[in-house]
Amino acid sequence: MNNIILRAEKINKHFMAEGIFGAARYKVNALVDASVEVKKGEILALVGESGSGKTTLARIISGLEKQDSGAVLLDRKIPDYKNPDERRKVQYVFQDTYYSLNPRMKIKAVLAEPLKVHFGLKKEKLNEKINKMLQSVGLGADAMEKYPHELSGGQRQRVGIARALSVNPELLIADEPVSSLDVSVQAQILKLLSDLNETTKISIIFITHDLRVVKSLADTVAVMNRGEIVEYGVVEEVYANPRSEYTKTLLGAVKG
Amino acid sequence: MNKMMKAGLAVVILIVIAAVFAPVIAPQDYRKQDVSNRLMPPSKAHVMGTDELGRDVFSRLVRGTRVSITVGVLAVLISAVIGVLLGIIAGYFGGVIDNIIMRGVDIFLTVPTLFLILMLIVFLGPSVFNIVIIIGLTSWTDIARIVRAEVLYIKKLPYAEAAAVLGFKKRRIMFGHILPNAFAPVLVYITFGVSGAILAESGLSFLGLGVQPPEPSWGNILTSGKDYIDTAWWLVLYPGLSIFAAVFSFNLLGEGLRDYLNPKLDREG
Amino acid sequence: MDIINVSNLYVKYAARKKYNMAVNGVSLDIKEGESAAIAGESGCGKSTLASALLKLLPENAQVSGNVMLDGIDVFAAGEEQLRKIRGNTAGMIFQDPGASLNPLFSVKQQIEEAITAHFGKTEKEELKRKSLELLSDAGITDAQRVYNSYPHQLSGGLQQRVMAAIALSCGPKILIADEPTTALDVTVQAQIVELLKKLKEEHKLTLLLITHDLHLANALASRIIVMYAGKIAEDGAVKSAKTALHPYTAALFKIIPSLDSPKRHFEVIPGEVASAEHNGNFCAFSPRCPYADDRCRSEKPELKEVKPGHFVRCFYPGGKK
Repeated sequence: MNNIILRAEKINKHFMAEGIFGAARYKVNALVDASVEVKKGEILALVGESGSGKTTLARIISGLEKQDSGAVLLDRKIPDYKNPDERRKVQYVFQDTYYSLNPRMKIKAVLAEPLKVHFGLKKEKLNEKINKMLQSVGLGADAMEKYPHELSGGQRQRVGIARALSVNPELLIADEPVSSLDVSVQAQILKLLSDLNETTKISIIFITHDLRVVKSLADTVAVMNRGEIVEYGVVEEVYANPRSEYTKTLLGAVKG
Repeated sequence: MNKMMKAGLAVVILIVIAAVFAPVIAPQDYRKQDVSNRLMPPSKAHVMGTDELGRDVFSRLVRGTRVSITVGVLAVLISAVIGVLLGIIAGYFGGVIDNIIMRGVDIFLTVPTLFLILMLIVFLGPSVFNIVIIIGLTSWTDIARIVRAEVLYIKKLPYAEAAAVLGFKKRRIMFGHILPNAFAPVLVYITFGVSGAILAESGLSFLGLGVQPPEPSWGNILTSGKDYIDTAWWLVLYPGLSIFAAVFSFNLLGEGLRDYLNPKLDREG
Repeated sequence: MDIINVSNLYVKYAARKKYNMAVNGVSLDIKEGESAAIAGESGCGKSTLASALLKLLPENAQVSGNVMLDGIDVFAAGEEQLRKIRGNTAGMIFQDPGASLNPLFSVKQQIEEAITAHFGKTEKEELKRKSLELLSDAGITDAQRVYNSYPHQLSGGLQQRVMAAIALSCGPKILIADEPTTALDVTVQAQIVELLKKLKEEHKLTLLLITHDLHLANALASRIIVMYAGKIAEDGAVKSAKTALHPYTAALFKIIPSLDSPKRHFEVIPGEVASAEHNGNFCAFSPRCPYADDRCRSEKPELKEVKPGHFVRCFYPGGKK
């Protein structure tokens, strides 16, 4: 029963916005008492418009940013992200496919690095594993010798996903992973994430502004607006019976 | 590569060849005096004429290339190492460390560099070694600022953040992921820096604070020539042209590199 | 009467040592008062086509073919005539309203500049009256405040409304909207769609929408022109996957999840978007097409009128064999 992998409890975060010439500094609440949890094998969608705080929450969960208050619990304890073995448990897939891969590294090197650092893999074993990883995200072995700019956006995103999965994470955070891709490629990547979730039971936090995608992909959804979670629950229930006005507006905008 | 850059590169290569193979290229010993043939205009025997002691000007210029290039390259390398290290540390760690380093840079920038160099030379004594060290130690601030700005930008890019999330060590992220991508502007600056250092060395030697005679440098040949400017134009023209050509071609190369390495152009191309 | 007439348009961009084809032979007529959408994925040539209509192509573009806008030959037009075309004949709004407005000038300055540029010197009072009218026409309720604001003080939706007001300031016959909602939040998108509909009716505009989103195209246009690999793949009154005759169009409709798509089921077009470079003797979509056979792989389909006003570049329109 207690198969909760991640719990974020009452996370608060503010930024200082600066007026022109540093004048009129004012506080912007990026997150107000945001709490979510993710069970093993579950896909949680964080939905909201720009400035809703969805990315900030994900970045805090992944350790890329620090919260002002509140706690992130991984496997029921506060993770020590300086410890490589705990660090690898939460991985991140980025929206910008061009800059998500080091432009000066071949794909082979991109995928080899985490395997060397975490598992000390070498030579044949390393190559074998890289091949397997490429296969699991639907890429051929010919991608190995290419540089990121020689791949399409969709292919780069597949590499980004493979890299994140290479260290056997328990939670994958996908931050608008398809927003910068062509529509026909978006569907491919969504299917890939859905398939990976089904076969490996990896938990996913999926960030998006598209309620249609949420409906077909996610199990639970947290609707965010101005740093607050205004609605949170099982996708089907929220869609059938939205309680907050904001959710209703969002759903209204994509109906038809 | 554009045409200007190719031209610049060609001249730079010529200059480097001249510097490396100076003894082979120079037709005569640059030290050999021949007082009976002093201040001879260019002729077949002396293509660039002779100086006030009857030494072959062409041979002395070729020898001087060595000094100029050595000083230019070594001084810039020193400043690049210091600048890159301080820049990446300031940019990556930020906060107090950044503040200390960058305020150091600010203080450095309030001191007129030429004045500082002159003072140090007077204090330490003029020699090629001292010039290299002094120019190197006084010209790293720009590189540090360039690198810091690049690092501030790159460390926020997804691939640098991905490296952090993957649990890579700070050193690996800084030198394996950030630095290689911050290097293009450094390379451009290094190229400009070489021409700046060559100019600085020539200026110092011209003032008598650089390379000391009888060892020739473009600057000090110019100094001795200035006394004969109305009778022996070749003593001033050729070293002047050499300095001009070297500085100009390094600048062309730098300009070209800036376009060539521009990732934006690359992305669209 | 045709207000836009494109014939045999080819556009390629000079890159290092080569050319990149963007539009690979497009002919197209749009009638006055029509609302059409040019749809397709990145690299299909839709944005280049839109820019070519107003001769807004970058310097490295090489063009052949012909574009007539309201009877004016765009490529032969001089600077003075082009200025007239851009504004009096056709107004344009872009994807990123924040980047299209100049951040250093107030809305007042930008909209009044547009008006004087086309109508010449105008009385101060008259300028203000016109500007406020244009702004409220674009659905801005507090026109007075927006009029005195700078672009950064406005939300994305308001910025796009200001862009629309400026685009319409010279009373154009055509409005070209290049991905007008892509950069905006979902709730704002719906409002801009409503605005464009309203403006089209009130000003009797010919609307040309450029988009990658077929649902948006459907909401605004009665005619959809789908481009693939620099060419037109289908052109007609397509409303859904069922009424689409080209397998690519049908697939584009299907792959966008809707609120009632089945859980965990994703329709997918395999492979990658073909480049406009394509010039081989086969159908550019055949490598990704579920219906492709030997004929598709060895012969190049032409754009054919299958039903009145419905053109398709496919040997098996509707996917039937």
